[in-house]
Amino acid sequence: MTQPILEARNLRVRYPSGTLTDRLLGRGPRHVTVLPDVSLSVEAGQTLGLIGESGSGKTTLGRAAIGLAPISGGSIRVGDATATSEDAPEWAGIRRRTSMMFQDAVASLDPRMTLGTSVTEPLAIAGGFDGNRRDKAAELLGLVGLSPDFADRYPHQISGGQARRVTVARALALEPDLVIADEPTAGLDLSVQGELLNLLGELQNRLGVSFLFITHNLSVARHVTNRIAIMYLGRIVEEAPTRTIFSAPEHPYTRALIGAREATGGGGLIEGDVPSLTRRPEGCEFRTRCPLATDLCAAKAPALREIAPGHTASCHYAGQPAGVSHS
Amino acid sequence: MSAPVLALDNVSIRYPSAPAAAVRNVSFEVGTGETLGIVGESGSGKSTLAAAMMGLLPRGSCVTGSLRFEGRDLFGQMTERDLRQLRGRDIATIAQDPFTALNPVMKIGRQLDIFQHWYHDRPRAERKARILEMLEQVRLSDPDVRMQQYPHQLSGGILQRVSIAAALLAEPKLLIADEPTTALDATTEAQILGIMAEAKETLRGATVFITHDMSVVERLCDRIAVLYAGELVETGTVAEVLGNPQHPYTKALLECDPARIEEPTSELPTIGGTVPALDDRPAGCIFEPRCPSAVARCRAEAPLRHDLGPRRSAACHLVTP
Amino acid sequence: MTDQTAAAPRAVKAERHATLRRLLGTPTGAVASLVVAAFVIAALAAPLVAPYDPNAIDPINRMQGPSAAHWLGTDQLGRDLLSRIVFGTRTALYIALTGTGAALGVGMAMGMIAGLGGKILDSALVLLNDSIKSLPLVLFALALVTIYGASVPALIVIIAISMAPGYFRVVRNQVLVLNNADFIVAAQSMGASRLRLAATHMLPNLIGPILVLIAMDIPAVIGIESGLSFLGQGIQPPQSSWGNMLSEGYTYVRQAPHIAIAAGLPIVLSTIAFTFLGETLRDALDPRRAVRT
Ligand SMILES: Nc1ncnc2c1ncn2[C@@H]1O[C@H](COP(=O)(O)OP(=O)(O)OP(=O)(O)O)[C@@H](O)[C@H]1O
Ligand SMILES: Nc1ncnc2c1ncn2[C@@H]1O[C@H](COP(=O)(O)OP(=O)(O)OP(=O)(O)O)[C@@H](O)[C@H]1O
Ligand code: SF4
Ligand code: SF4
Ligand SMILES: [Mg+2]
Ligand SMILES: [Mg+2]
Repeated sequence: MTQPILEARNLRVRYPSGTLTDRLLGRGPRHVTVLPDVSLSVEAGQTLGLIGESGSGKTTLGRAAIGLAPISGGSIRVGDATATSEDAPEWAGIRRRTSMMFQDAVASLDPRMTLGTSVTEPLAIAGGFDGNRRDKAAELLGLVGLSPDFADRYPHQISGGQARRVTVARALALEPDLVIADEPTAGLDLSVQGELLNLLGELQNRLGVSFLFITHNLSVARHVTNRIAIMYLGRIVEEAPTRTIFSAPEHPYTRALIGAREATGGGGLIEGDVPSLTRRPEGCEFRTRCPLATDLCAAKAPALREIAPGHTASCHYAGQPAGVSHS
Repeated sequence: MSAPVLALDNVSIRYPSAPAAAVRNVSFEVGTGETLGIVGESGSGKSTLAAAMMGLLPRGSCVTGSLRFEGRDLFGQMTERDLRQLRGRDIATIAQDPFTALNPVMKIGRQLDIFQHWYHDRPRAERKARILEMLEQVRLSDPDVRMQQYPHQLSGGILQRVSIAAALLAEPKLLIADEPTTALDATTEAQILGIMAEAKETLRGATVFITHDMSVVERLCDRIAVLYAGELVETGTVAEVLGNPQHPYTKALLECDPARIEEPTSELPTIGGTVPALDDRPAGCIFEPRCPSAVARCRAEAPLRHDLGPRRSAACHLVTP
Repeated sequence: MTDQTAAAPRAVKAERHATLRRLLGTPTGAVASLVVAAFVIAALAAPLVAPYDPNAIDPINRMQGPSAAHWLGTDQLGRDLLSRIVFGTRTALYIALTGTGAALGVGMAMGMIAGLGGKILDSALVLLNDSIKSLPLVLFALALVTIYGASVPALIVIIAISMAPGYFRVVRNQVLVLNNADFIVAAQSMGASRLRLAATHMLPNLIGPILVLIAMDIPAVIGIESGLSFLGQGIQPPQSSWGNMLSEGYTYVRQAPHIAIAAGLPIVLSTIAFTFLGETLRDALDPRRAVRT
């Protein structure tokens, strides 16, 4: 097997925190560590789904993968370029072959730029494009089902879903090797969502593009991803082939997520307070909300370990046949 | 039904410098305590309707028909000042794009305080406690830290929950939520929907809920309006429309829902063709170019709204009461 | 039902010229632009436009009312009022432009430093600017003039100091917003250089609010200049200035009220024109400005 196109190794990301007075007085923590230690890889030509609770650090991981988050440890490798800090010179090369679709599509378009200029901006930045930019813009917009007259509009003149499609077109402009798609289907109606996902799938087949696919939508993830990584409080708690995640989830958090999708009328809820990034629980970080937590969980943090080939989970009781687990 | 909180009658809206209307002849009502779900393809005019309900359209837009809130026509009888007051007090929105709805250089806590205008004469500590409680209700971790942060320091889902908290703090009579849960994971979404359902009962107001997610409609809404290319194609109770869709567009839309597809596939169903351009609308039925059941008559003549029961209708020639 | 779109062109295209169109499309915007243009032309081409030498004394025709020879009449020394107003425009706009220019430069520099620099620097600059803003402007100006004497450079310094906080605030807030804006990060993710970020993304988003502020500030500056000149602490005679003329007219207001009226006219007119221009410019530059129809 070839080596993965994207590989994060023991990646650590933290933001400065607290107000100015707090920091001057030395009160409270100076940083909030969003990603304590993440290792993850995306195989070439495949799609890895990244799923997790809101605020768990998915966007941060996506941004870190192209050097747009304060990396304070570990490394990111894309292709054969490896970067270990936010201002590493390797990012220029990495960004050329990677593109990002932002979670907030409207905000990721310059309000004073026409959509035509926006979609072709990657070409302008990369240089070397000598075709007609208007034609290229029309072609790219056509790819996502928008008519050429959108090229002359401004972001505030289109709907949320149309803005989403423009950002998809922009991300595909340079035919990248790797696409980091942050919630690419949020705000799209079901039919357009289907078209978009089919388009991404076709690109993958034709050009071998790899995707890091961040999403909340489990129904979508089930159809388009090859593997899924589940994130909780900035750590990967389970990773497995998509089928396995849905049919045999091992981590209690994954089970709750899958349960919430299937439940109607509010089942599958996770009880308990959402833990804070600055005051992480001792032992297993999911223990404050885990229905299976035991004394062991409070005492010792479970390691992320392989419980079956290609299936990792970080729970003391993962991989044990039901019933024997604990009492 | 008692007098509706919000009543739209034959509303058409055209943006300035747009070749044609983005919303055409839309009529519906939302009663006290009711939640109306608006679904429809991207660009069909849902957010446009939401903006109109707030009296917030770009200058130079053209509105015809009437849009009444508690009997008062938002575009006929009200001055700019009345409208501003209405927006501050009686109508609140959760915007589709939470980041642009918040002030980027003001701390979250202060922004939220502005929303609870009903309480502005209460002591500071009490107002702060109320905000903290609301942030906990929308399940934010570290609410006290969040209050000191600026919007760009929050994740998409946290922002979305902040705007939900803001809208709920305002205790409006009409709550307009434009895709409020798109950035939330399944478990958080389930919790937020629960909170909104509760709020609905305590606030006695009406809610308009714009979404693409049919399961959200099922969970939270009483009634549903389906829009296609700016026109209302079908409306009725959620059970009626989702259980027994009458309009071909509604049927096709529901078939695209990946949640309703059992086996994982790489080729998701779509509705073939594209939405007609604004200035190139077909003469007959607006859905005719993509409609699998179209007949000759559809091309020539636009269908009228057929009533299928009390407050249930569909606009298609093939629908017969 | 409301319909204001009769004049709206068909396509969304040509949005490039839309700002101009929106500016000139409203009656107030069109009139204000016209008046401002007239002032600018008068200032630039003063020697050509003015019928007489503004300082030519004509003792025979003193304090004459408006006539065919002197459209606005003459002052106590027989100088042509219209010519003095035209040359006064030169003075007024010169001071307004250099004053706001200096304020813009200082305010923008401070705003950039505050927005891009560290938190401590930011807090210090905010404090500094807030303190300046809370100074009583006229007293401050008079104090400076008494210390350093009345002169054009002194005037410009006064104006720059008193107006800079406005630009500081706008630039700082805008930079703070833009710094974290998703579209800036998006451009970075595409590999945009710092130069490109600044030139194609930051600047266009900064320029709108600044232009508006300039248009709004000019009448204030004209007011300061006229006010100080009126008090004898601004432009020194015989150089023509609206404030000087007003002050002289005031002395003779009983014998020849037309002098004061003629001097007051451009002050009032320019203030109104620039204010309206600023307001329409604000609406025109921000197409998103949500306003009911
Ligand atoms: N300011 C504007 N000027 C001109 N056209 C506009 C403007 N805003 C929106 N439109 C157009 O009006 C139509 C309806 O937009 P609207 O935002 O209401 O769609 P929507 O139903 O909310 O879609 P989505 O689900 O994608 O958010 C779209 O075709 C859009 O391009
Ligand atoms: N610039 C920043 N400064 C401080 N904290 C930040 C910053 N950006 C993000 N965070 C924090 O990092 C955490 C993770 O944010 P991130 O955006 O990665 O979450 P996410 O998993 O993408 O969530 P969502 O699903 O809601 O988008 C959040 O608690 C957020 O508040
Ligand atoms: S280790 Fe314990 S607390 Fe953590 S997920 Fe497993 S059972 Fe739950
Ligand atoms: S009227 Fe005709 S074209 Fe339109 S939805 Fe009905 S069957 Fe289809
Ligand atoms: Mg995110
Ligand atoms: Mg919308």
